[in-house]
Amino acid sequence: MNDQPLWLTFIVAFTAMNVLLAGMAYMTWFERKVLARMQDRLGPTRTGPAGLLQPIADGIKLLGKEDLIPAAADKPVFFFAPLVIFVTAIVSVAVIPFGGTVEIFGRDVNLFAADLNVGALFILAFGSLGVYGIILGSYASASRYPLLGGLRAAAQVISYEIVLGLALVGVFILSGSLSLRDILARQQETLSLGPIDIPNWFILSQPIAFVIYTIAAVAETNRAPFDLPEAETELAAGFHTEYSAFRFSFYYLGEYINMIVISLFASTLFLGGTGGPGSDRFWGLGIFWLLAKTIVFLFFYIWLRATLPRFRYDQLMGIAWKVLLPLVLLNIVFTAFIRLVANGELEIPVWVWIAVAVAVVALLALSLRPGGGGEAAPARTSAVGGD
Amino acid sequence: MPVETQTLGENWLVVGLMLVSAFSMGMLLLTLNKIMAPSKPSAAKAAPYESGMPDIEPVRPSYSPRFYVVAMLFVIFDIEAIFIFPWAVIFDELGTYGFVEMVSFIGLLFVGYIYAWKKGALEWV
Amino acid sequence: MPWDVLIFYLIAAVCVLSAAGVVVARNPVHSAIFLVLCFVNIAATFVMMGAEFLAVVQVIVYTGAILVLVLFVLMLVNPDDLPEFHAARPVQRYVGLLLGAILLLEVGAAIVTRSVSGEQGTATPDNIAAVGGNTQALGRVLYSDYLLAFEVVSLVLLVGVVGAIVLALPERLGERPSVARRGSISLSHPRGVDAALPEGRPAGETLIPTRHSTSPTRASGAVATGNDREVSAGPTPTGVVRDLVMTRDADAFGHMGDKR
Repeated sequence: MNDQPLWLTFIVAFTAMNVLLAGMAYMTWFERKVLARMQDRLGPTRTGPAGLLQPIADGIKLLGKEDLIPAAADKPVFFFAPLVIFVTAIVSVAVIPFGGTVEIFGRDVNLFAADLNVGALFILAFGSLGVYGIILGSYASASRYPLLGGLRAAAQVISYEIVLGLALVGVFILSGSLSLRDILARQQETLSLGPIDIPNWFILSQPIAFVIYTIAAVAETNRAPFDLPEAETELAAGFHTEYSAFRFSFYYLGEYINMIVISLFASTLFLGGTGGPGSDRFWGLGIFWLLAKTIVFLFFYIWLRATLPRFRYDQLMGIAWKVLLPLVLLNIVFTAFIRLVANGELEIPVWVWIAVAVAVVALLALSLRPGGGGEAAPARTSAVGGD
Repeated sequence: MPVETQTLGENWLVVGLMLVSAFSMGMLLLTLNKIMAPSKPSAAKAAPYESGMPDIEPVRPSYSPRFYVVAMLFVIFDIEAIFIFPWAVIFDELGTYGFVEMVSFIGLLFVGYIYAWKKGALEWV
Repeated sequence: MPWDVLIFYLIAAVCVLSAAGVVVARNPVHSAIFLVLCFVNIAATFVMMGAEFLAVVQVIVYTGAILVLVLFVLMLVNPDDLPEFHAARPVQRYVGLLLGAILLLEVGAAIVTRSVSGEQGTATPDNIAAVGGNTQALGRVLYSDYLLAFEVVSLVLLVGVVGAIVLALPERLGERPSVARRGSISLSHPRGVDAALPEGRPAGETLIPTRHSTSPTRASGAVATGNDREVSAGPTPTGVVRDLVMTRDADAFGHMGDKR
């Protein structure tokens, strides 16, 4: 079945891109509504029924705003930096599989833009390119707040990028592939636990990786409680302070598209992607399940923003480097070890298992003891009031 | 599920086309903005934003060298991650042999990590 | 396929032009941007040769990590402090030319001995497809034939960690958390006035005088701006006088605190 013409693939890709853009617009509406409800407000109500036309009105308003460029700005870089973040965010959707091959209007259509052999790394690579939008935008503004915010943002994004990438290694070990379609196919299998059959979603075998991935994803997209790059109380608007009109909205678009892509990615890697009741019979249901899982993720993002206060910068970096990084490396070694045993490569006598279990329980007990173990961050809070 | 593939070239060509179309979409929006928006530049608008304070010194304040250390550590751990990916993919083939290899690899780097921690490279403030 | 060739020439042209841009650009940040462009296009040529994993690595490591490091340094360092960007010493110029020539010869030799007259290796598209793809093929070779090299890499990276910390982290940074928080600028009372602080003033402090202290600049300023400030001054009890101190070198300030 290699006869899909390129134009058809491109139509699929283009549709995905536009759905993503529309999704982004309605993500802002969704966020405002949910946040408002959580704060006992109504959110947008005036534009259209339940404020549904609000995103369109916002877009038109931003199109009609004056595009200001600071006199000291590095103009060519200032012009193109926002586009970098927008383009890299939107192209990442190419590798997300929305389903297999289906028949639409009597034609076989692949419901994915590109089935890359290195799909998962592709998303990481484009994420790392997105950092340039931040760094170059802040540099080109030649202004204090953007420079500070940009440096912070870049340091934060690169720190969490490692964690994000390493959190996926467990999934790669289990699936034996970097292609998102293979990973998805592997999760369509069923696990039999006695009488019940459950889908082989990787969240079940990689719960630690999933939690780490979720934390890193929130930090990677600069969202609350990790939104220090745009901490408005100290940095005005962070790296995009000097941007206005539609150039500003590219940063805004980029952030939301990144959120959606990273949620789609997480749903595909850990939550079985298009898998769900009835998805093997009708492809529309598969897309529905994928989107439903993504929306749960996005709701979680908003929930976090409504609930948690912002971290301090040293706490933020401390979490990435001192907590998540060792944890994620441990997870890799642990997963590999279990996999070895499961493959029957390694024979472990029973007494070793018992010894290990006792050691783990003892360690847990030690670290949970008040004053013991723990990380350093809370202990230093007294130092803050110094100046 | 039937196995259907696009060739490697086609896959990447689509990615290239998406890059081009996303870029042109962005340019189109910027052009629209240029047409629709007013343009009344003034000296105050072109000044850097300082929360209403006049700008006092040329902007290039010096920052903490810690950012540099973080970037350096990032490069190193990024390379480590890159080495782990292909290993993870063929883990089942490599078996115990591969496990020992990778544990020693990660172990050695972990020594560096502990050194960095002890030296305070991971501390902020 | 002429399309392949056409796309290759397009990518190669952008690559060469951006490489030239790296050298020609006056602004170091622009140079770095050109280098990003160059690297991304090199990744594209890797893709055209079927080396997908290598392409992704190229983007993740070179553009995503190493050039971010370069840009960090460029943003951290005041451009005035950099050595003159295009005024390399003549010696460096000649050495650069020589190294470039040697590199060119090496590449040429590799092309001639491998692709013109060398025999075909085992990494043919069919063989790669048989093991499941590019990444798998690379992993197989890397973790069996080149095991030693792989383990040496971890040593090299270890040395990299140590080197980065030794070079970039001034020794005092290591002890930072034990001392109270120090910003780059601290506003505080001058030493010797506040009883809680030790006598004397550490090096690197600049006094910003308030209306009570006398300094030549302030005196002349008072003439220019009128003397309404002087009127409001009035008699001040000694010991309450507090000047504003801007500490350039924050650490000097902190070490004073340590001594008590």
